[in-house]
Amino acid sequence: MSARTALAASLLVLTACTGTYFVSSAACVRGTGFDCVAREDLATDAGPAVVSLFLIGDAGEPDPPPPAAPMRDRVLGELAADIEDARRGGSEARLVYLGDNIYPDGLRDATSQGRCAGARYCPLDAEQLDAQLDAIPEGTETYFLSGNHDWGNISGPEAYARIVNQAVYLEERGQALIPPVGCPGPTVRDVVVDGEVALRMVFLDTQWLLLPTGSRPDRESSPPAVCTYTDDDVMERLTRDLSIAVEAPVALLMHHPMRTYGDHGGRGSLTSAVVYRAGWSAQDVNAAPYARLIDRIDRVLEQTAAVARHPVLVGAGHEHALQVIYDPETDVHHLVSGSGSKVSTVGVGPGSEFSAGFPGFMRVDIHQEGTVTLRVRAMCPPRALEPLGAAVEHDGGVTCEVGDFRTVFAKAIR
Amino acid sequence: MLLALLASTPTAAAAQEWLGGLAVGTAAGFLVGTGAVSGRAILFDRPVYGISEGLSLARRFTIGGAATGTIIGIAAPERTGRFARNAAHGTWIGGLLGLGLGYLVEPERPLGVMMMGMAAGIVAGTVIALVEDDDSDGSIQPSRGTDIVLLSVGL
Repeated sequence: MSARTALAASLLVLTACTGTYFVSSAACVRGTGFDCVAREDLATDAGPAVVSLFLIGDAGEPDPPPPAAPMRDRVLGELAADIEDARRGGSEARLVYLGDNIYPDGLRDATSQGRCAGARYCPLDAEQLDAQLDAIPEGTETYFLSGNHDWGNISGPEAYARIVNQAVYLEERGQALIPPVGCPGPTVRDVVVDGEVALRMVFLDTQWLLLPTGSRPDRESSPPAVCTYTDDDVMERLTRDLSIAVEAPVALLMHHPMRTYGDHGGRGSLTSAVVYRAGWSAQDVNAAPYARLIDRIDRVLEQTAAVARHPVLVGAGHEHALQVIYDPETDVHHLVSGSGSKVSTVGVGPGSEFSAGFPGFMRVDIHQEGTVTLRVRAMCPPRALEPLGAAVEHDGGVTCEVGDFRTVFAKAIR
Repeated sequence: MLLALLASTPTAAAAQEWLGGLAVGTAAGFLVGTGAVSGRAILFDRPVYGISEGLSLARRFTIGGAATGTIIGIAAPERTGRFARNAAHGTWIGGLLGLGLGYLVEPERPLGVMMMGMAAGIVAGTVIALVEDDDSDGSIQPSRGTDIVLLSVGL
């Protein structure tokens, strides 16, 4: 076989392996009665919301310089407005940042690899967190999860140092990481209305759970980690904490999604599809540690489904898109809201109800009689560096004006 | 694939210069590095926690390959062409066999097994290039024996 023939054959095979995933960046799933055109399709007789949960992930990437249209600033501005609107309506608002709060390497300090000379923390890193802190409407209870990039996107002692930096930075500004730094969770926060739990939020640090056992912080780390749980401990406690689904809706919140059809699920861009099929990255769902984590959490969700009388939602970021995926086996809606500041290609798969590589966030309202409604709020993004107001056409035939912000999907979950 | 092209060009034919060894060694080292990253993830359940970790590992093999190729080019220039040819054969034979095997045993990660196959083929081809009897006539004709060995390694 000549070299040229070998080259051609190899390229053909490589394309066949990865070419089926050139999916549109805004795959809008029909069949549930909703489409990507703005349409408030919620039953208006759901009554006022008593709790409003706002989910936004991966908001740690700075906006491009002007005149390019801002994405994160716009999204955070709309988020703040929505929160204030919910509170004016009498709802208890809770805001969750789903991790990857600082790209690309977490909060570096002067001693970090790639040090920032002369500064306590690298200014560019701190600015990413500041933007998210500044967006919080005063008095709004807010939770910061950590993602793989907050851990520096590495493993080992330096990874722990990065997340400790962020924990300290947040504490100095009246906020905190949840679960506490170095702990995997689950950590529970209940929203109590009129003496009863209206919503239980359960937080996990999935990056901690993905780390090899020997790389996790422990009592010998600096600072010493206060949690020395095994994975079995975590799952046992998680099962117990989710069992409240008998009495109230539950939101299980973490950085890494348990269902995704984007880059980390092998259905995104060509580059990510190659990396996915090479099996390199622990951040992809086909990596052994991640697959094991999904399996274990799914088993907990199956046990929960057997007793739940209220909706169970799983909220996550990590994937830079907005996805709503329903799993009938566990009766769980997986809400992937990871496009707080950057977007990527996303596909569809079994259970997809909505899928779009648009910047935005999600809002879950718990109503007085127990109905749970979901809204996906998204912005028309630029394709390149178009300014606000420019007309663009995205894949999937979606034409919009850059910066236009609207509800792009809505559903009454129960 | 770059190696395959190199092996068929006059550049490869004249690759008894150390520069040729460096170029081929660098490319071969990188491919072996990607195979090592995949092997670590698939065989030893140790994926990387960020792409930078993977590239750092691949970089070490790239540097090692560059050094190996340069040494061959200087110490045994008459084997440089053979090294380039064998590495190219090893790449595509090992890669295709690895890809086929990957779809059978690791359908979620077939490209990883392909990269491992390519790495194995390059290493085998390099070793053979260094130990097989020298043709001494300077020709770059494919050695049937070498091809058979590479095929066996891939299998």
